[in-house]
Amino acid sequence: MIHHPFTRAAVRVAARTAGVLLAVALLSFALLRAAPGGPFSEDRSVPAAVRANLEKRYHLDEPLALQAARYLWDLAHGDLGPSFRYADFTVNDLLAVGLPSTLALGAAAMAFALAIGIPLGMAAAARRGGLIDRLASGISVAGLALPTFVLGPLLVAFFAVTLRWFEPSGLEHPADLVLPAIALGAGPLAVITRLTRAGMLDTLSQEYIRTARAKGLPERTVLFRHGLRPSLVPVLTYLGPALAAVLTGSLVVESVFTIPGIGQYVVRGAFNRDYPVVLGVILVGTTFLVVANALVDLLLTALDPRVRER
Amino acid sequence: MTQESSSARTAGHLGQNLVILLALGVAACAHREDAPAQTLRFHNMAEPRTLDPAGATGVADRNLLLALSEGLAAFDPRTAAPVPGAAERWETSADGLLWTFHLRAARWSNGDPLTAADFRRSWLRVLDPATASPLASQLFEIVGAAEFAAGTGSAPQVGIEAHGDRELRVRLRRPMPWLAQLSASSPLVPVHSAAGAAGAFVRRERFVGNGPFVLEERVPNFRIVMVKNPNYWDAGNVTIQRIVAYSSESKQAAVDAFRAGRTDWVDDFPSAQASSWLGRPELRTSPYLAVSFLRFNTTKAPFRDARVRRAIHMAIDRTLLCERVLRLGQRPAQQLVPRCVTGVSGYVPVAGLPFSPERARALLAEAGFPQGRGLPPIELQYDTNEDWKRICEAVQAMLREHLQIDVYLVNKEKKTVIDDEERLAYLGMSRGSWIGDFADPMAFLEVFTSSSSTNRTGFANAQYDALLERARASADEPARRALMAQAERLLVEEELPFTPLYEFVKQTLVHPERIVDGFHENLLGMHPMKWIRLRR
Repeated sequence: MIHHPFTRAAVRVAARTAGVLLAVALLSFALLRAAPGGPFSEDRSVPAAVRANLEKRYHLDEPLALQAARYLWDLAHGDLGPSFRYADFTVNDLLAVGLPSTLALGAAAMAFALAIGIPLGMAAAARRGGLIDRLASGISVAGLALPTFVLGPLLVAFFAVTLRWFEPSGLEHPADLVLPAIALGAGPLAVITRLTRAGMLDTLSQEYIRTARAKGLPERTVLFRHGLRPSLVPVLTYLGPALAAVLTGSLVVESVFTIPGIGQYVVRGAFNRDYPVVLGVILVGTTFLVVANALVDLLLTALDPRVRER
Repeated sequence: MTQESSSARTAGHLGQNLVILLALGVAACAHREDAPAQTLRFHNMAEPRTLDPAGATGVADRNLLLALSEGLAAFDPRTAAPVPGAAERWETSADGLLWTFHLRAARWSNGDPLTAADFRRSWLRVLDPATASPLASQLFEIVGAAEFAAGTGSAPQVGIEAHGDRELRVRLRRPMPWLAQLSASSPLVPVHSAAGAAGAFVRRERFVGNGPFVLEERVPNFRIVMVKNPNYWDAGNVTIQRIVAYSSESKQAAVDAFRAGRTDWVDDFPSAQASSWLGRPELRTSPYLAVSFLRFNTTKAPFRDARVRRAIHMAIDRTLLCERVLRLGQRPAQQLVPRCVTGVSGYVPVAGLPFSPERARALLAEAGFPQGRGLPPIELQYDTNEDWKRICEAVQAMLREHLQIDVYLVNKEKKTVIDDEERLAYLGMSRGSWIGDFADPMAFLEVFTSSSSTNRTGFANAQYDALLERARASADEPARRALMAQAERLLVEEELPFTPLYEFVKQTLVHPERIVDGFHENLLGMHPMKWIRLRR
């Protein structure tokens, strides 16, 4: 029963992913190449003959269309090309080393946002206007107002440099994820808290909740069994955008905390004109985003029958 | 009422859970092992470009390569002068054209004997057009080298000869008094014959070196771990067991890590940050073989006129710049060659034109712009960097004050600035700097010859080129210095295709209780790690 629509959805997701990837690849390729300067523009200008040799090695002397075709051909074979800046590594190497760190950071940030945001939102809704509610709205405002590039260094200054509870940077121990995950998860946490609170308040005003209470059910049962599930639908719909926020936020957080993930390569790669590295990271990020959005769609279908009917 | 209190209880539980969760997180990181006593941890700036000597152009690359490998000569930790390395001694013929290096009995980290043929192969590899090394031209004074690199000659014609396993002879076209220094630098360290194609030999499992340390781990954009090499010829004098070199683009992160006690040494960081360390024992500053300047685009008006360039030069108060803006002991530069070069090369840089607003105004009037009238606003571009921004703002204010010239600042990203310079597309002035590859004035003077690709000012002066050619051909050291001084005078007292600003200092943070000896400041900013002693 579930099998059929799921297969259809999976095929749809695959086709959509491929289409989006192709478009993103071509667009990014064109944009990158439009930037002035090149990978070999350095303080020490390389003599023309050396530059010619370098460009030949990386096929940069060929017409752009041919280079794009070559890139897509290699891409289809799973080869993302060499890195111009980090000459000792291919893009595949860099991604293989960096992706686990980025995923760990993203997962930790999302886990932090959900683990704190949902209970906090519920607690705020359960006692509207109370101390926790005010605390929750304070946290939400702070989370939304403080950009990661401000929050990150603040966390470092206080918890790493002053208190020395955590390392200021790097990823040599799982605990090193705590500060970056908080910095990265703060934005999503704010939104999740507000969405949960709003959803919960909405749910709690429903007739069937009153019925449940009238039946004499304990408040805990009312909140968790009857209230929670429908209240989470807005949170779930937000997971797609949240993932996008975490992905783009990790560009900043990885730089602030020196996490050896792939996010930092987008910014660095663009400055270095390291075309294959930037393209590789963008494509991996796009794939994650498209697939995650599709998964959220499927999850929503499972969670809320009303969505299924549409 | 009951509903309310029940909700409050639930909320209370949730709050409790939150506290427990946070406490767990904190507890998780309370117990961490400290680094063993003989582990040196330092911040090595940005991720190295490569560990291939032929491509290693950055300071970060060099720091690592000189720990993993060793050239024929090595650097003295105090003076950065060349001292015996893989070669135990060397001699030069009377005409300066034949160098003979005598290698000591030494081994690669995998136990293979290190031979003169290894050096010959490695040096030829730098020249090989297939390697496309940006550093090849450093060897062009060797007989046949330029031809081989250009693809018109061949390797056997290059004057690098191995005689037996322990003698390397280098034949030069023209004297190269700095060859011993150069042979200690990272481009000329040997590469093991098993290295193979470019890039393939830098992974941990394949890197074979001849230096005091061997590569153990390499995580791009994070850290490189090295351990002591038991096969190094001088291993008995190396006390550090392990080195962790962190790389990060974020200089703030580097300073934070140092402050938090995670690193013993930060190799470089912005001077804006340094002011908060002034007077602290951690901060060490020393003259550095590098100079900062503003390039003029001499192909565009108004800077086609040398008088305008001289006027700008004489209206900049470099003492004020160094004392008020930079504040770390940078020295004003009215010349191109940093004065710290004297200690190693004996060359005394020329005086240059002094700061003199009156003469500057007179020059400007003479060029047809009295009180700056008739001059369009002048562009000054700089690449993104806090230090450059402050410097350019100061220059802008000085030119307005002394010459009534309007200068507008344009901040561009680095590659764009370089691209503009290479195409001579910038409109007025462009901030630049140069770090000498070796302690000889030639390392600076050759930048502004007409054939230099790093010139980027459009300046081409036959007399200047000829003076340097004659200096290169001279085996008589006083005569060579006199010719170079004449060239430098022409460059900075008459032509001024750029206006020098200041001589750099190298600012490092060193933990005084961790690093107890063997760490010295020198003009190359070179800190050979085999000499560093950590607290036991």
